[in-house]
Amino acid sequence: MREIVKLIVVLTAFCVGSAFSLAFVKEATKERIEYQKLKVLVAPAVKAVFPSYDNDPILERVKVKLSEKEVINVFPAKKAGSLIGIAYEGIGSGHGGAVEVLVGMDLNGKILGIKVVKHGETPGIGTKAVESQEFLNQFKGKGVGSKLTVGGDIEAVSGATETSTAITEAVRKAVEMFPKLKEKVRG
Amino acid sequence: MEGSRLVKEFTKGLWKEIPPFRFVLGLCPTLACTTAVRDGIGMGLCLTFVLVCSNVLISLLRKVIPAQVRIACFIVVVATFVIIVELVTQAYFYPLYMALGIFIPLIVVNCIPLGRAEAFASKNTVIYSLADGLGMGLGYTCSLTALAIFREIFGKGTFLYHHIMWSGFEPFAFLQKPPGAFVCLGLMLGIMNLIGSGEK
Repeated sequence: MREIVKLIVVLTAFCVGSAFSLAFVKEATKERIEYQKLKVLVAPAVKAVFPSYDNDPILERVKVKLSEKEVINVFPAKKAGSLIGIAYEGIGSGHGGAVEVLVGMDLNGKILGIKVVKHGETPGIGTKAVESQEFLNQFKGKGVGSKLTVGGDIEAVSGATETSTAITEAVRKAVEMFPKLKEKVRG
Repeated sequence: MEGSRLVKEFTKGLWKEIPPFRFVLGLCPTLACTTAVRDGIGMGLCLTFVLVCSNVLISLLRKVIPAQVRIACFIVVVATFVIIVELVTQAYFYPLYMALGIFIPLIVVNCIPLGRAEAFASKNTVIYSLADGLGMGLGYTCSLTALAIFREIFGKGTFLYHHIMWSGFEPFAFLQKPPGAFVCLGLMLGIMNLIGSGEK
C-alpha cells in the first residue's frame, strides 16, 4: 500500500512540475510567437497593400475589439512618424470556405491596395481571381461611399465569379468597418 | 570526480557511440531533416538541448524516482523540455520552426533522450550525465549536419541557401527526396563501418 502511494505521489509531482513550468514558458513566449506568426504570414501582404512606409506595422499593431468575441488586428503604416494608412483583414465566404483579404486604406477611406491572405479556393479556377493583379487593382481608389459589388463597380474575373464575389464581399465588409477602426487607431 | 572519465563520457558520443551511425537510433529526423544544412543543425541543437536538460534533471532526481514508474517519469521530463524547445523555436526562429514542423514534437518519441535517461542518467551522477548528454547531442548534430551538407550541396547546389556550385551545375534532385536520404545514410553507415573495422 505504501509503495503504491509513493508511486502516485512521485508521478503526480512530476506532472504538476511539468505543467507549471510549461505554463510559465507558454506565457513568456506568447507575445513573441504571435508577432513572429504575423511577421511571416501577414508582413508580405502589408508590404503589398501600401506603396511606402517606414515603420514596423506588425510591431505597432493595434487590437480593436469589435464585439464581445471579435477582435481584429489593425496594422498602422507610418511615414516619418505620422500615420498614413491602416491595414486590416476583411472576410468573405468563397467556394472553399472563408477568404481573408488584407485591405490597406488611407486616412480618407480610400483603398490603397488589397491582397488575399488566406483562402481555400480551387487551384486553377478560383485562384485566377486571387492572382489577377488586374482584378485586384480595380479596388484601388475606391473606398468609403463606393458600392463595391460585382456587376456594379467591380468586374469579376471570368470563370472565377464566386471567388471574385467573395473577395469583393471581404473588401466591402472591411471598408464598412473603416470609420470605427480609424477612430480607435488614432485615439 | 575524475577528469579523464569526464572526457571519456563526453567524447564517446562524438565518435565511438555516435547515435545515428553507430547505434542507428533517432533515424526519423536523420532522414527527414537533412535536406538543408540549417535544418540539420537546428534539429541537432534542439535535440542537444532536450538531451542535456533531461539528462541533468533525471540524474538529479534518480534517487527519488521509483523503479516501477521510471519510464513514465522520464517521458514526462523529456516531453516538458521538448515543448519548451517547440515554444522557443516558434518565438525566436520561426522559419526554422516551419521547416522542422512535426519533427520537433516528435523528439519526445525519439529513442535517444529516453535511451540515455534509462541507460545512463538514471545510474550516474549529474556531472557525468551532463557530459554524456552534451556529447551525444553534439554527435547527433554533427551526423545530421554531415548528411545535410552532402544532400544540400549535391541535391540543390547550395550551402546554407547560398549558391556555391558553378553555373550550369545540374543538381541531383534525387538526393533531396526521401529515397536519396536512405541512400546517403546507407553510404554513411558503410563508410563508418569501414573506418571502424580497423579499430577493433
